[in-house]
Amino acid sequence: MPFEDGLLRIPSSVTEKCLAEVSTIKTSAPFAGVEKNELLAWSLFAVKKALKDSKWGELSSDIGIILATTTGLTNNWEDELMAHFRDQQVSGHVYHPLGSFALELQNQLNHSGPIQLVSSACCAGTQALGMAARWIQQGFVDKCLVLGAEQICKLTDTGFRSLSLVNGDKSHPFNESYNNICLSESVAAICLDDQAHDAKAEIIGFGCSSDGHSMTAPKPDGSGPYASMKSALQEAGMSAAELDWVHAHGTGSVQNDRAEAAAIKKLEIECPVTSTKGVHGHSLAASGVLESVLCIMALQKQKLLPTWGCEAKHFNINLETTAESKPLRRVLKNTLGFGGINSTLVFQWVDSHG
Amino acid sequence: MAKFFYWNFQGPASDIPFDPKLRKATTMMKMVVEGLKSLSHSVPGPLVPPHSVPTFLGSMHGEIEPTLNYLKGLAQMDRPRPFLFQNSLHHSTTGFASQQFQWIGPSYSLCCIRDPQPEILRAGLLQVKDGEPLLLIHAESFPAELAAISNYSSDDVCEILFVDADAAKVLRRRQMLGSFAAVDEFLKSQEIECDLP
Repeated sequence: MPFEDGLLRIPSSVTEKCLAEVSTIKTSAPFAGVEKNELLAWSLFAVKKALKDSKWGELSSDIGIILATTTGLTNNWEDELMAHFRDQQVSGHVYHPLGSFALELQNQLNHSGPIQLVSSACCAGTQALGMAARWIQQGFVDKCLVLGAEQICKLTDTGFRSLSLVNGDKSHPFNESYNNICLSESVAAICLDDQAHDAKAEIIGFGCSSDGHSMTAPKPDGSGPYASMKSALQEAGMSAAELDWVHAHGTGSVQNDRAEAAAIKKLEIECPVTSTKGVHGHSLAASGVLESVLCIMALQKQKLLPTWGCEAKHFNINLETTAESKPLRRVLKNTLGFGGINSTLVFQWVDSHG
Repeated sequence: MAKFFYWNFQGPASDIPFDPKLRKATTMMKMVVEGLKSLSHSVPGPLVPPHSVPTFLGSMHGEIEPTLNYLKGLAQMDRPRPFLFQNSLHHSTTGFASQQFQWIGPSYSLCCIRDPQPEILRAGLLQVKDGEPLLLIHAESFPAELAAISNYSSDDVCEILFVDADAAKVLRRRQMLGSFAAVDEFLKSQEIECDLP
């Protein structure tokens, strides 16, 4: 992905490839230009690939869909709205609700089953996965597809810059010499099916918590992420000592990394801790799904993904900076979000080869 | 004895006497906080320690009011205002409420797609476990300025439904999905104790 001025965007060549792969996107009012919409093209490509890999075939009505996004199709109307405020001529719609992304995706996929959109800031992806696991556990659906999708728009680009969190550099997670988030775009899909014979991993624990502290900064003592991680471990019926790897939220903002490190220390986690955002950036709501995919792939390869961009260990946690091959069975995936929200998943490797 | 609480408001939010301390909050945040104050006055217990009631806040339009104002400032003065941005992100109303009431429990922000209240109720009932209460909030505040140039109306809505663990169990057993008002009627018909403000 090309890196430019603190952002990692999906290149147009990838969009073209996605558009070519997903066959024709149906045109439907009121979405002018929907046939070339980037977020829809990426999303449909990811869903198509996930359905093929999972061998589900079609998306029948007994399959649920849970989406995670913070801005959805905002990129498609914010320019029109800003043009209106500048007294310029407006050619398209000045607003679509966030749910229009879900409606349009369902329309393109001919899906008539239950659908939910989670918008809990940067925890939306992990919450969507935790909710999907519950939908199946409760017998509400047989299978569930979770899609995280985020496209950079003016709102998020300028907004994070205004908070001095995007400074034009790449992320250096858990490195106090830097204080920077690299915003990125990503789309990732996971198919959940408790009857799958060739499952790659299972979700064995899910936990959430609130800080009740600040709109943008996590509580410095890390009590929020601590509660979320502890709750996920309790549901998994295991102790922190039984973890093989913690894939942290690790955005590269000092406030996030300090609070998360404090929580990791409080839980007495001794296994390797890593953040991969130095490589792929932070794609907000989609990050929880994207990084869960990375965790599952790493479990398959039995090789943990190291922390990139960490030249100095400031946080007194077992930060891993090299790609090590080692037995990996259980990984904890952590996320923290604006509004003081925390969400955690525990994945367990399913060895399909016995 | 199972207990529940229902609070609703529809109409211009300016009709609600807001706490002056909330003057910097968005309309949606103010409505939610005022509704939750009614809840905490009438149902002693659920929002005091351990503050851990699972909360689901759903909305079709989310924080569109600060988003609109943020983009307006950006368009007209090329000046991004961080305060408006932090309020514009989805989950900001849930985050604000959790800050006001010191919640430490799980909270979810949902973007409703077709029928907000049944979607919020479904999400909550599927997620909570036996023995857990549930706090459900539906809030909308759509700016008149945007209503004038889009296909949406500018009604302000805030409805809050709190059900304790026993009432949640009843709803789950009956697979009850509907508006919060319909749930209120149903629970009353079951002779479950209602805590009215």
